[in-house]
Amino acid sequence: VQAVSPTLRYTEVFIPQAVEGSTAAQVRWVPLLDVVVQFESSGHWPDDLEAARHTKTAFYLRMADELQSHLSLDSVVTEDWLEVRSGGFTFRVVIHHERDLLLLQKTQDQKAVQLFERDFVHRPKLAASVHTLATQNSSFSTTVRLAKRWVHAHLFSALVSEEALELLVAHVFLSPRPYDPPTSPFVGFLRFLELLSHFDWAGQPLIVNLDHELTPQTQTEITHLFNTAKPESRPALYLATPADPRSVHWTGDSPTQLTLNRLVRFAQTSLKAALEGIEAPDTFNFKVTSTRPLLLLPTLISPSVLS
Amino acid sequence: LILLLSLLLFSFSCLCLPSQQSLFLTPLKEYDMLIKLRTKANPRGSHGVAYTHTEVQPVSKFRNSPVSGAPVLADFDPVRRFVHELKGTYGELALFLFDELGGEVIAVVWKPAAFLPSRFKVSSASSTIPLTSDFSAEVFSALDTLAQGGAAAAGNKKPKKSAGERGEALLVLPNIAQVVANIRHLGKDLVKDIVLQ
Repeated sequence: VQAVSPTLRYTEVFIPQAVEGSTAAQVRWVPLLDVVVQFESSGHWPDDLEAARHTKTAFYLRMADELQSHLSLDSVVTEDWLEVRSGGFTFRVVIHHERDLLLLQKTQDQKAVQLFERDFVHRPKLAASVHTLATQNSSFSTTVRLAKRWVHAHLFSALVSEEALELLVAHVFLSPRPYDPPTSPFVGFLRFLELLSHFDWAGQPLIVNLDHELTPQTQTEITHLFNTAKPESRPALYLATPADPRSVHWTGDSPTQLTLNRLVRFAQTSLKAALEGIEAPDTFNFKVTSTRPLLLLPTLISPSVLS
Repeated sequence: LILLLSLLLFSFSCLCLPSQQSLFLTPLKEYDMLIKLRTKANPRGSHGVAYTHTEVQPVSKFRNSPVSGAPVLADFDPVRRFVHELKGTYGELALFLFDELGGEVIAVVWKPAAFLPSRFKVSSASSTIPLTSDFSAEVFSALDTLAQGGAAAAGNKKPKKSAGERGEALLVLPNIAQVVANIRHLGKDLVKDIVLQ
């Protein structure tokens, strides 16, 4: 069982609140907390994608029954996932079976294969790495949340993926030179803005040394891939990790060059404003003191609770 | 026309930047249109940057009484769906920018290329207005001159259709008033106001 939701790796901007019901006046926001359940390989699975999909639906129904009878947890079954409610939170459970990848590869549908790998291989792996990072650095989580809040506040929602932002912040913590890793969230946030503002996005790849897996070989390979790809065909925001040297999974389609340019200019202005604000705090409204508990430490939900 | 196009492109690239006053309040002056949303209709409304506690709805009179029989709607984000729908319907006409964390506006930037006269299509008939036939013919002849220039430069001697042969073809422009009305209709209670700026 792998947790893939940002909430379960301390990087969701707003900590979900337990919700038992909604009033007529206001529907409460209930985020889905994504969980992937990996099944052991078995020869009994069907050889057809559509049949495999129906088999999974049958499993969801069975799981819903078991959860109800053993743990009295309510759940909702859809064709492609299972929603489990527990203690006011809702988890979306998806079954992952490795054989599906082989079946998909036979269909020659490159895009589908890539999406499958992203959702079931790379996202859980990234979630685990980011989770580790968040437990090692006490200010990582809040830095990510500030960074995400900033990006959304400037209307970049749906244009930059959550994972891309987490990787950017991860880079600030993993390769902080010439500084030490940030020790407070606000410093981390300023470094994030600085990274966005000053990095030469068109000229070189940003290599995030996630899990410290980077070897000189992979580094050369990434640089080589970056230099041989045509500038217009490679992602504008090139965030390579050892697992994703081509930067296809998190920034492959978005942001575009235009969006990135705007993001960089917003970062430059915000950074300048923040630095000026630090020098003249009386005249400056940081608007960090949000009315919601943005700066409170996240409630600890350990993935071990789920497994 | 090209001048107009470059002018519009230029105006987009100059979109306003965050003010000196705040890091998290975004400037909205430079967008072409703002779709203002009702915070109350958005389940994530309380996450907004500008949200204040005074707007909080009491959840229940008594802490231990069930709130209501209303079902829990997981992942119900009407603003995100609305933007998705807008992108699907008018994605060629404009960019839709929003803040999924309780943002109070959807900012719209028209795409300059969409405002050049284009051929009439049945699928987009409801949100376009026809140009007068005189003006259509004028545009066609201008296009022909351009095409001939290009063809001559490329050494291409293929005969082009003259403006006269295509005179009956109708050119259309996006009808902003209709688009705004449609957006208001699509958004229904989610939309508080639409401001063209």
